[in-house]
Amino acid sequence: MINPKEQYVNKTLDLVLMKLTRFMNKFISNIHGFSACLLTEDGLIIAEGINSGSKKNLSSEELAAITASMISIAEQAVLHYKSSKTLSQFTIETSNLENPKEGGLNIFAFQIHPNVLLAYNYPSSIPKGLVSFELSTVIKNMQEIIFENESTIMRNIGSMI
Amino acid sequence: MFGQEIADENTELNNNMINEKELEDNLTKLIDRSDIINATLFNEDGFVIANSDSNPNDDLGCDFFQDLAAISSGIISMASSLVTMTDPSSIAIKVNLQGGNEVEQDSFAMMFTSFSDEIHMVVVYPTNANVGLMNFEINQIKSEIKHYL
Repeated sequence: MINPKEQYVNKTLDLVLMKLTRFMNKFISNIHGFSACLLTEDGLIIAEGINSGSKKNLSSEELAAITASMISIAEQAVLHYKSSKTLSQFTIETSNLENPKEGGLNIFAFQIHPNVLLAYNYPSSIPKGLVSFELSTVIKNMQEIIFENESTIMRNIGSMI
Repeated sequence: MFGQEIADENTELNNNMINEKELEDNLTKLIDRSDIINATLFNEDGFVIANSDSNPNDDLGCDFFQDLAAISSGIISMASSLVTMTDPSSIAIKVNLQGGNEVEQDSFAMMFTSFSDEIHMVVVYPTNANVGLMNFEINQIKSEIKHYL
């Protein structure tokens, strides 16, 4: 039997994750991207958003796992160059070989909390200005939610996998 | 016969040294013409081919750039794997990372580009640099040093 305290924590966690997923879905549909996920530095997914109108639905699990390991090498590069700095963002720009006109996809990772990254991918045809604008509006809301519920998210992250 | 072989080998070594010097001059030109702080050319295995800042009396020694090249090679390799996994018809053309926020004074960014399948370059630049000019100069350098590689 679940005790009332545990029930309350689970409810809070569900609510927090729902809020985060809603922001992610809105963000990814506004930038016409493929998928986005909030992940920990270990590569565990906290929340994910998928653009239902998109033709390509890329797996968030794969994106999260490899992004996390790549971010850790990128962090080493930053620390090696200047030990007082930390990695704040990471981008990969691609080009489509089969259909150059269509363009490739850009993969982007942004640190929104010391232990939380936002990774997303979008077609390279989308203007970077639009992405930056949408990012700046959504990031504030997500940061607020994460900082307010930091302990709830981090304590329960292991049980979500 | 044997003497001839040694002479040929010496000529090849001299040619390689001249090429390296010219590559370094080209990289120095690149940092003079744009906001780039440092440019390092390295191969697929993470070994430095040429560096814009190759003065051994510098604060940052040769090992520093060798380590940077090794890490950069790892980043490029992982980025290519990620792109192939997510979209097999695409290839990674550019990787960027940023250290520190825009508001911080000494924040910097790194850009990793490929000259060919085996030759890559990492440039370090301040976050307030003119990226358009930098991309233009990198493309210029690409065509200038193509014949050395």
